[in-house]
Amino acid sequence: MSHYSETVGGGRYERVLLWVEDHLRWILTLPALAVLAAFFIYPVGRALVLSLYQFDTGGRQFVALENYVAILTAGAFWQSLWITAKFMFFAVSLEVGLGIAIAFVLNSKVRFRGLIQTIGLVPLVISPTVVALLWQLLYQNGGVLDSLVTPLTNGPVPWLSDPSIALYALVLPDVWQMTPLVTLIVLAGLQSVPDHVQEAAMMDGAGRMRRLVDVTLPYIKELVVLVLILRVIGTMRVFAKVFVLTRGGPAKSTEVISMAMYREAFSYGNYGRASTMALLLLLIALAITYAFATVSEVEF
Amino acid sequence: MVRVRYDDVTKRYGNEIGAKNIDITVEDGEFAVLLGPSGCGKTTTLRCLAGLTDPTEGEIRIDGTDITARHPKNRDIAMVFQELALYPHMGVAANIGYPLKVEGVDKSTRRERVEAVAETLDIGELLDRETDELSGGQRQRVAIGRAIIRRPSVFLMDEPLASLDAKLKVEMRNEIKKLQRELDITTLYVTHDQEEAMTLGDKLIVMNDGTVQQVGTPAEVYHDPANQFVAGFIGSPSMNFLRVRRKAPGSQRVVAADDATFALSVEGLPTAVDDTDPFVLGVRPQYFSVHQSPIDGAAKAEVTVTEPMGDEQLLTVRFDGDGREIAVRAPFDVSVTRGDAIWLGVSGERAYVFDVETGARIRQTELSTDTAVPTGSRP
Repeated sequence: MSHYSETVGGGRYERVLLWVEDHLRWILTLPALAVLAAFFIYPVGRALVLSLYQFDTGGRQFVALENYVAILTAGAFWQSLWITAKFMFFAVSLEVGLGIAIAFVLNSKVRFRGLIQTIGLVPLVISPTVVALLWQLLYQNGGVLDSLVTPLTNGPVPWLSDPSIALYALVLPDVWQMTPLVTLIVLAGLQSVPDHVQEAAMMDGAGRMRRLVDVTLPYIKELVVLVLILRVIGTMRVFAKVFVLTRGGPAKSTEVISMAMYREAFSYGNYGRASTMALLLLLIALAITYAFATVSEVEF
Repeated sequence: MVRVRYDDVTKRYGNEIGAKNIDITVEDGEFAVLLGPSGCGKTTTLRCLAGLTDPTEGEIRIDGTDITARHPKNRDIAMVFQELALYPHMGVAANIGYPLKVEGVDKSTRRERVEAVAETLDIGELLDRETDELSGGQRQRVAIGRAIIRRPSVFLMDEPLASLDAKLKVEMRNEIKKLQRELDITTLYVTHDQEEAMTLGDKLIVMNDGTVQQVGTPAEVYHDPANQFVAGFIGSPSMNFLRVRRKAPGSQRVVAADDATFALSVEGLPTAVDDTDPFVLGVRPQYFSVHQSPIDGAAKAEVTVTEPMGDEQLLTVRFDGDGREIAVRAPFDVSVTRGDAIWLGVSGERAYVFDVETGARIRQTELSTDTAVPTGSRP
């Protein structure tokens, strides 16, 4: 840049312009960094501080790592974690499995593909709370779902009030809402597989299965890993559906970790413990993301 | 023995014709080039043989066996695509060895054969690289390696050199030709580049509008074009076409058909050309004789552009009183500049006559075709 300042004579205006040019990358990224700081770094820092305090009626009191010890040694946290893991496993397996299958179907020559795609995206744009309210209607005693399954079950099913099925009843709305996201992303990947590469594999003697394994899957692998990570994190944080449909019950059978966190903070007023749980959840999410990326050898 | 035969093959896309009544034979070990402008149906024709496109009508046979309905993988045909179509997530060795892997060849044999092919193609040291680390020419070689490793009975190439720069194109062209000779595999090659076609092919199949216009050796299509399309498409710069008629019934002198703005003597006009009906006279730029003073039978023209090219020069000229420009090749020692007058003569042996309506060639009843390509006249 220096030769510019020599040629233009180094006036004040030019110097400002040169400074702007030299620092352009910072100037352009600073707003984004500020937003990131405000909505990520500050809350995490704040949670970190809060996690070192105990809150009770007398105010807050510094307890160092006591919250961590209490949570990690109590059964309740692990129980919530286990429930969350179960929810995650069933929801993510179904969403990713179904999502990929539907993406493959849509990627072949299907009539009205655009229309199907558009209708399929509707659940995705509805807020999770509204989705939960919709499903609450479906799950009503003697409601739509009951009338569907009555021939098989000889009577209404206690969808949300039986501890052995309530968690699975929460999985369904999540699958209904989030499968289109998986389809959308995987379909984008499938459409990026060039025809000529498929044809080359065909000429090289590869049959349908071989082409799927050797050509198609490598093309969509990164997107599948991405969508897996998105859904694992998404299901880990599930809250609105649980809050609306079961509030963690019956008998704490759907007390996922975010529900436990909510109860700790807003029912018991123990922000220290709630923050501790939030941080532990963040660590778990990071570990899972890292594990996925490492195992699948995908770089983002 | 691998002989490929297209038997009246037609491909329609709805109401559109992709290729129509293709009736050609490629002999064992022959290098056949499908040549034509974009959209002429040459790639469709090739893809029908590959099995990637199903013909609407007709049959394709390899050594007499009808393979029209066979899956591509069961045809024993290998293909190099215009986009090369390397597998981006596989390394060089894996790309070349993929057809063998699919065949179930064991790993060590595969490695041996991959190395042998890589050696032939001079990419032995690249085997452990990723494909995105390669240059255009190297990727080209990998694509060819993948195609030949299986020793297919037929080898197809769809504009494989289209993405290379001019110098590399010439280099790869020579290698492809050498390789085809060594392997002795029946080959069909698609290109729109007539220079590439002329240098590579034993047989040229010139196509336009979905139909085959002419099949012949490079010398045949160049010196004995079947119609005005082939005459104009082969050769660079293109053949000049003049719309003319005999000056008088039986005369060997022709004049511009509409306004008689120029008159030119052409010996040996086909007797089929009637008295004074218009016809198209085709003359390649190098087959005009250029004179700087009036001579009998030559037409006067004005030079509008001169392009020196070393040993010779390319002149753009306009016949006196006529708006149309034609290209003329002249020796470098003809000293002319823009605006100068020259006189152009034509030897009857080097002029072609075409029907005004159909573009079909009108031949002399007896015509000698044993003309060799003169030095320097190749495009």
